[in-house]
Amino acid sequence: MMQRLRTWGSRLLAVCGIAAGPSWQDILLGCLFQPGLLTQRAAWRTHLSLLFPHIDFSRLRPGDIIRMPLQIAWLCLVRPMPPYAGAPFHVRAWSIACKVLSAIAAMMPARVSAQAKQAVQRLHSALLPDAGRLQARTEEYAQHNVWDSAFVRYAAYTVAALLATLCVTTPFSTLAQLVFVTLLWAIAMMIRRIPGPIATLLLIVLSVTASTRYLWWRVAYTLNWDESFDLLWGVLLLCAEVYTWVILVLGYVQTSWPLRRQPVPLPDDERMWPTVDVFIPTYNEPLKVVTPTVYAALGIDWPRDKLNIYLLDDGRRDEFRRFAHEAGIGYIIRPDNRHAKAGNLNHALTKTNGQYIAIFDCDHIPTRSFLQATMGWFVRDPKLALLQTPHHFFSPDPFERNLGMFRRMPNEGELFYGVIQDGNDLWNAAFFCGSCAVIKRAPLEQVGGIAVETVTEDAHTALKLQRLGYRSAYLNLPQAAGLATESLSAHIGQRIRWARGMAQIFRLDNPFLGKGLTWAQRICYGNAMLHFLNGGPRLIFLTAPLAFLLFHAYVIYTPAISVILYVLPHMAHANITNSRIQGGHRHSFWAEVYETVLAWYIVRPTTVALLDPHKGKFNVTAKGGLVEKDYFDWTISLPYLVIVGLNLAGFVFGIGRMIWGPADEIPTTLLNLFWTGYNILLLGAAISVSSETRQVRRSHRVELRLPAVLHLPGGRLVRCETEDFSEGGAALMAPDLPELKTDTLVKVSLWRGDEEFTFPAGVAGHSATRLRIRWNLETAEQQRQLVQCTFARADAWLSWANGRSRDKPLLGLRNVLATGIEGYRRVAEHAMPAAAPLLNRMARGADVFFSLLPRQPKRLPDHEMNA
Amino acid sequence: MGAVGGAGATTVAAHLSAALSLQQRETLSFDWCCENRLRLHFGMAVGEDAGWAVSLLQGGDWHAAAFRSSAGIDFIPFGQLNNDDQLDQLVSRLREQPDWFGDQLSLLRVPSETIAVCDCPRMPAVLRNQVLSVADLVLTIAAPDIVSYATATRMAHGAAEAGAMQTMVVLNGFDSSRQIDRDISVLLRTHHKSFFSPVVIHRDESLREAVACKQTVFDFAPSSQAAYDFSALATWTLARLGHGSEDAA
Repeated sequence: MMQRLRTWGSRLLAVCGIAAGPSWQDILLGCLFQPGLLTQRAAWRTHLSLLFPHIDFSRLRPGDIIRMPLQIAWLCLVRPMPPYAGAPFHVRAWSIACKVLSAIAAMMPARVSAQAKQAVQRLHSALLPDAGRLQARTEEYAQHNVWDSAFVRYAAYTVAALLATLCVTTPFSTLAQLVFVTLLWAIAMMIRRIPGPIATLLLIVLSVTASTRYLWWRVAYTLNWDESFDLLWGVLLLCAEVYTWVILVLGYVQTSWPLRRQPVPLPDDERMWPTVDVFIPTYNEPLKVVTPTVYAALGIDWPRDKLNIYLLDDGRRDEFRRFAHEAGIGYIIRPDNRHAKAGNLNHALTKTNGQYIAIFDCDHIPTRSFLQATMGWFVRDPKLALLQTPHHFFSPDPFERNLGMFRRMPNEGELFYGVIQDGNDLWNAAFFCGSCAVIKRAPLEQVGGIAVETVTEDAHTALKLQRLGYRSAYLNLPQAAGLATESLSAHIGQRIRWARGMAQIFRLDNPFLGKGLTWAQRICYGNAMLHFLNGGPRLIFLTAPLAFLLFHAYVIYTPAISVILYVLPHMAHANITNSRIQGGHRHSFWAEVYETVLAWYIVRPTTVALLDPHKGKFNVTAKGGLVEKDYFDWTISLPYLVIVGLNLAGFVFGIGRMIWGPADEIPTTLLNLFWTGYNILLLGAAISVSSETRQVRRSHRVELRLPAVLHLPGGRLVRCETEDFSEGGAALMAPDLPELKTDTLVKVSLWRGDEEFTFPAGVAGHSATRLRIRWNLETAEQQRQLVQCTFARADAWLSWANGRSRDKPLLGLRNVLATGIEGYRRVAEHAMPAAAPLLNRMARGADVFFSLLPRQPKRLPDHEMNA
Repeated sequence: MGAVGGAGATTVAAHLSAALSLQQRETLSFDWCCENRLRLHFGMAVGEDAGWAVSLLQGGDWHAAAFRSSAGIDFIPFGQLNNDDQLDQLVSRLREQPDWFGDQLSLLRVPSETIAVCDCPRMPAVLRNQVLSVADLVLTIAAPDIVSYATATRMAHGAAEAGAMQTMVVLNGFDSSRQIDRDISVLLRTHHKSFFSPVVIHRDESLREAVACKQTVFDFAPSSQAAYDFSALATWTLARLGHGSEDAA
């Protein structure tokens, strides 16, 4: 007993960084006099906070009475992780292996021993070279001049094709398949460590192998041809899986090597710069949405005589006419509203004559550098007809707002603008997205203006241009920013339009058919359109396990263990590969949430559009509205609540089957239960989005640090930084601010490049280091200057994603599942408001309970370990 | 050197040396203006008459007139001359020794990177030329008005044409809420870019309040815009000098 106590004690001391001395007295002395511990209070405190990460020693709470002994017991009984961050696991494992080998070598006769040791050394450095060298080596192999010979290339293709056929179609026993997928995974893990695009391509090869093998196996071995009911379900699921596979493979082609185009400088001679017309189409948006866009457009850096700005008002409003006149821009209206936005733009085309046309939706505020950044490419490449820049949103979309993840995580659009368009650009297939783009007039007129056959006129116009051999480009620099859709219903409405439009193009002007496109362009456009058909397959995945749980239909007619051995590699490889390609622009599993929310709503429009492409009309996306109070959008979430109900029923049935069903069905039941459980949580996350969070601020605050000067009433000036700004006001920060009463009149200076402008403002709120002000702008001139000093700055949106962590697939999964649970809490809260206090108390109780549990001590950062 | 009277050259000189010494540079501030006002920024009593000109005229060693402010800035006041005769006497003496200042500076045993900030008068020309002949960089302080603008730009262009030491225009007392101020800064930036310092000094009441408290603005209101401007000016000056040695304002 005494012995065991000693072991525990020394273990605890080891955790604290004290070497266990020979006796208790020594240890005590060591504690007192060993430098770095009790003798240095700060170091001691750091150690304590690392060992008790959940206890704040400067502010003890009652619960700490339980937390501390629990944590001490935990530290004594469970072997804690080393307090220092060490090398990654594989490095440590390999080092240990090499040490063992060296030890064996040492036991050999002296002459052999030295050589053996050297060999081990070489092996060690060969297998653990630094990542940079590995990257250099892969690139060296890829660029080797042996590939210059067409014969070698085609021979390699043939060998690869043969090998692929072999890998995909060879039937394996369960054990052989286990060995095969383990090897595949091991290779993937090794390749994953190598940076650079070549390794990405290798990962893609592995992923396609695993997925194709899975699909082949599904077709060849897992359909139950004897039972027509099972077969029906099975074929449906298989179709959904084939669709997923197609999207996966086409997606790899599309995004494997993003081009990441950079701006090209314009010629020094300004006379060579082309003339540009800026079109700002509007229909029913309020004037206050359009004003900043116009003011910002007026500030675009371009020779005055070569820049014309036009407001295209389909609402034909006097207010807008007056505003355009005062701002000194053109105002174009037309007698009818045929073909909505496309028609509006086409009409304006006939009234203007600039060589290039820059198009901004009326709520997309361009930065002053927009033309400087984009036009260089047009001057360099005369065949370039279109250049698109990303749509950037400075307000949260409903997903971001309702899930509270604005700016912390990439949103839905970022995957498209961060990866897909850049990937398209490599294949000369970047397409027009309706706004924040420049189009060359001559080619546009050649294709008959903006396309009017579909409701996504933008993508279709780009397709038409490319069929004529014109080039397109994409520049991933946010050079304009706008408001995201306000409510979930509006967001879904917008996506329905896109989905319908894409399906229409797929029918009317299929990119896989027709003349003028390269195969890669066909794939890029085709994938963009096919992608919007995901509604049906998604719904099938959400309900497939029910076929077994409720109706006992074997949709995958095979033992559960084989399913796992085939489906897991397929999903895991796809996940790590996509995570690598899209890492900075998408977090794993969130795409599933987005797709789930939309699935139900896009199934019908896309199907209709595929069958009869001429049905359906253009709907304008509402923006700039308010969500007055928290509410739950039951209408939108109803279909999902029904599917959840079915899944829950399936879950209960499944448990019933576990208990009363035949024993040999238990693995299959378990698998389906797991699948249903995942579906339920995914649906929960989707439902969570329907819980609309209050959105009362009329103007959106943009967090951006800009230098500013605060002019105090007495004439003193304080140097500040903005914390955020909006059209209505700003928050200023300074190390110490004098006392200011609310509504005190002050002035605030901001810069536009070198030029400084001062704006009158009133104090809205105040603390020692932070001042919130409200603009009291008096003139239109000041409004224009304010927009140009803030939203239209060239650098306004460049650092938007800074400080965001890269994707970690498992963390993404955890977040999505946690959001799912949160979704059900919200449903319960809104469905039974009376129960809300009880639920909150339960949630708080659970929080308190979890806070009591012991946890792993934190690791010291490396530099402190060395100190 | 002020483009016109009241442009704020003394204030800029005092704060430039304060900012430089805050950036851990060795500085020495010389007052060459007979108004003897530079010292007031460093907290010297108004009644104290000592200064290098006074010592020189009394036949003493001018080094005796060196002071150190409570913030640790070394400065050498001009000294309070009692009448115009004394000034004439000084002028005639320095006229005979046009390189007097340069010689004296080279005799000083100070670290080689020391920056001498001189508050240089426009008149008398003898005193001005003593400073300008040794200066590495001349900052012409202009108030944001048309007269100042015209004078300062003429001075800068004149110096450039004469091949003299580079002369830069610093806009002082700038208030961006006034139209004329903004126009002048745009004019300077567009038409006289090569002579225009990118740092403008704002019209900040903290400056006047600081002098009233016998402090520099760095001690009085460290978070003021003026403090920020002057440290930016110091940084820009250092870059301009290439961390060189001497300097005149």
